[in-house]
Amino acid sequence: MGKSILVVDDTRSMRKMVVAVLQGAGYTVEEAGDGDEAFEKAKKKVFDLVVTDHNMPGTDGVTLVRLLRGIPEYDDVAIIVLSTETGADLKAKGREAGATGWMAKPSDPEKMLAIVRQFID
Amino acid sequence: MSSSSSGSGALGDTSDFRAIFFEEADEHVAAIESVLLRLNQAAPDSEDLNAIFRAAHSIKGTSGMLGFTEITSVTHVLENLLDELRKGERVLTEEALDLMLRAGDMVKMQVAFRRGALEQAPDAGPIERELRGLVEREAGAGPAPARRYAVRLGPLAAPIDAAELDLMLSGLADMGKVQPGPMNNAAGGEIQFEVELSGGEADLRSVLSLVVPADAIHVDKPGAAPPAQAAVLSKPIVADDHGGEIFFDPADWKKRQKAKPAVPGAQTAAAEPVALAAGSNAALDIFVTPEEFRARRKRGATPEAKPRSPGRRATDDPSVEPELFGRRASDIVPSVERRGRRDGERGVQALAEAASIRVGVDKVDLLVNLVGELVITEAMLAQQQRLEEGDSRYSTGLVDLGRHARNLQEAVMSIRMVPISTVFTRFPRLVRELSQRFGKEVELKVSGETTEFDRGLIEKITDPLTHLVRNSIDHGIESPAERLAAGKPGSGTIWLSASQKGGSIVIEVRDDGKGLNRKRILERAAERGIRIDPNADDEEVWQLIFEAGFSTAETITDVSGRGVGMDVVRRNIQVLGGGKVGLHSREGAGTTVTVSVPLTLAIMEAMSVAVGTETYVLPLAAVIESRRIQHGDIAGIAGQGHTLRVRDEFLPVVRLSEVFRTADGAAAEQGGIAVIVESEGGKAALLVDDLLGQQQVVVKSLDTNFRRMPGVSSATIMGDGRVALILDLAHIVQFAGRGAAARH
Repeated sequence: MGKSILVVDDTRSMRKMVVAVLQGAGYTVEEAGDGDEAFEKAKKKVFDLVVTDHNMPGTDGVTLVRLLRGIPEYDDVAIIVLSTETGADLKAKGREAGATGWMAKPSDPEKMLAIVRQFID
Repeated sequence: MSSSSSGSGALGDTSDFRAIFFEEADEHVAAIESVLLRLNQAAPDSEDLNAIFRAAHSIKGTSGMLGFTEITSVTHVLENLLDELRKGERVLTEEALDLMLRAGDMVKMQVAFRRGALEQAPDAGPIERELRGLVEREAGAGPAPARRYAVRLGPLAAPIDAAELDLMLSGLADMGKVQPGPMNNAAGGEIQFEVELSGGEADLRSVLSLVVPADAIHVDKPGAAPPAQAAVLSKPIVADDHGGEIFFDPADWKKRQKAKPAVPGAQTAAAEPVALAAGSNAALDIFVTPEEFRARRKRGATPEAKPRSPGRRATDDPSVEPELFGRRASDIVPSVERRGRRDGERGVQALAEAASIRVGVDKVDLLVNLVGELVITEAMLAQQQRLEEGDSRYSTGLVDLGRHARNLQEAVMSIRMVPISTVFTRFPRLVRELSQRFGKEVELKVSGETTEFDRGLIEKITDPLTHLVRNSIDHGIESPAERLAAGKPGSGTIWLSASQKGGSIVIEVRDDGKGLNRKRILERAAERGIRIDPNADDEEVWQLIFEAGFSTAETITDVSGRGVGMDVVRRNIQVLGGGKVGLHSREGAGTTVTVSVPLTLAIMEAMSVAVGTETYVLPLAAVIESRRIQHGDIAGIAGQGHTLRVRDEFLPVVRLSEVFRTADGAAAEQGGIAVIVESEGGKAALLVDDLLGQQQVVVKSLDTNFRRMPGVSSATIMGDGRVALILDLAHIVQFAGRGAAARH
């Protein structure tokens, strides 16, 4: 069975693209439209990797990372923040919250896949 | 090369994502616009600013992935500006507001271009440069570009009215700070003061010119803001520029790629991938290398005492120690609380999402058409059955079928209904821009925007309403000075409201401006040779402004007052299934224009009439009455053709048999019926042989199914399956006038 990835983004088009790229690479993908929904899904199932947007209404990406790191099963799960924001301050916050990596959006789908592969396989 | 082409391998065909993106972008831009327009400029709500920031951010993200670089770069600068605003590092100026609105327009146009709705790519350069200029110009100076102006008014031709002077000074004090100087308010004297405002010199001059002629206004070059304030202003802005200019420049990516292991996932030195992270603007920042990650996973250890990875950036602030997989209760608790509070909201949102789907308009239109056919078939069957006095089981079945068909029709029609807010949302912007242009202060109050109407009406009603609102701002609402002089508040109000009354939507455009000027209208009527009783009541006088080419505007502006005004509005409304325009006005108090249109254009309340063997359909809204014709009722008047006297009016007579050249209709002179109708061209009496009844008819366009015919607006299929023409009464009534003139 393929590895499972949770994709979190409030922008439908962006989410669908990320999902399509990952599904195309053979991963099982679930989506969440915001941080809260993602957290609910993550509590029910441990994904092998999480790709999340940062800027979302309600619970943002960095907060989601922090919430996920609060779940013991997520200790070893790579969480990559995919955001158009790449300010050093914010990245430091992401890192502090426990993010595994930070990718600038928009990103080349191939590169995104390459990064994901490094952490999941 | 854009990211979409380079990434097409992994992403595949992007057309689906494009379609989603176009819809999203339109929604986001509409949201940005409506939020910008409702923002309180002095104290913008941070949640509002966050919402537009996120909208810009979303557009930027996806457009970049899809390779729509113009959209990405405009939204990028917009996002920078919004970020400074939401962090309180910048004051929201009129200029910033304008630029942001224009940036939204540009995104809209770029989306239209990408959609194929525009042939040429709009040039995003200018707006992008202006936005960038704004962001850079004040980036170092920080917020509140308050400037100090030394103002001299004089030499004065005559003393300024003390009340006016006070009003002006207090107006300026509202905008900023006023430091009074020597005030020699006498003929030949000079008034001096200093004023500190965030607005530009033009704003200042426009206020001053309310009391002093322009040539007596002297504004010295803006001086520096006082030192105390400058200290606050020069607070450095957090160096945080959202990842530099281009994240996805393929060349850049290649360079990075070289620094990376050639094969993804290859076992290389841990330091290598991490080196990618150098620089705060890096497009990729891996905090934990895959190798570390795997090693940790094998250990399955809790990492509290995890040593620093060797590949960590040397530039890192040691105080930001990454607790890589650590959990800190203090971090988690507040977020959990926050989450709990938001849970309810999310539930509602999720529900709303699940409860609606997007469907193409063409599918809905097809459904409407098919249901229309079904209703007609049902009517045909019912009629057949009555004729044949058939089995009672059939008749009960038919009654049920009829009821279901009508319910189905109603349900399907409701799909086409949209809230009128889709039309109203454009008006805040229009009002803002026009009031700026005309130097007026106008507040727009909108109500009833949830009233639903047929989406087919959106386009058709927008232009007339726009015209009415323009008229109100241009001709109705007075300048602030005029209003104050008339004892009204300086800011005028326009009310835009919608409501449903029976089968109609009533839209009202009301202003508290100066109202129509009866004297000028009568003068203008005289100039144009329109005869009217000088003692006619107001309502009658107001009707004159609906005459073609009738304009009393004293100056012709580029926005309205070109004489193509209310007549066009009325004509455009009348073609909407017999829509009506009413007008009330009181001099000095304001004008109200009421537009009433049917809920839907697809179904019409109609009256069918027989002329010989033919059946014609009239819009019921246009029918006033019908009367049987007695011998001698119809008289020939020299120069006016035949007329029918109804009470004390002489109405032109239209023989439908002549209009449509039906062979056997000429008999309908005695014992025939006159249907009195009113349309744009006035009233007329249509001679018909019989009235067949009132019913709802499904309107079928002749343009698409056949071709346009004079005197006929559309067609319908009657219960017996025959096609009947729906008459274009405006045309027929005009024809009556012309035809009569030609015969004599």
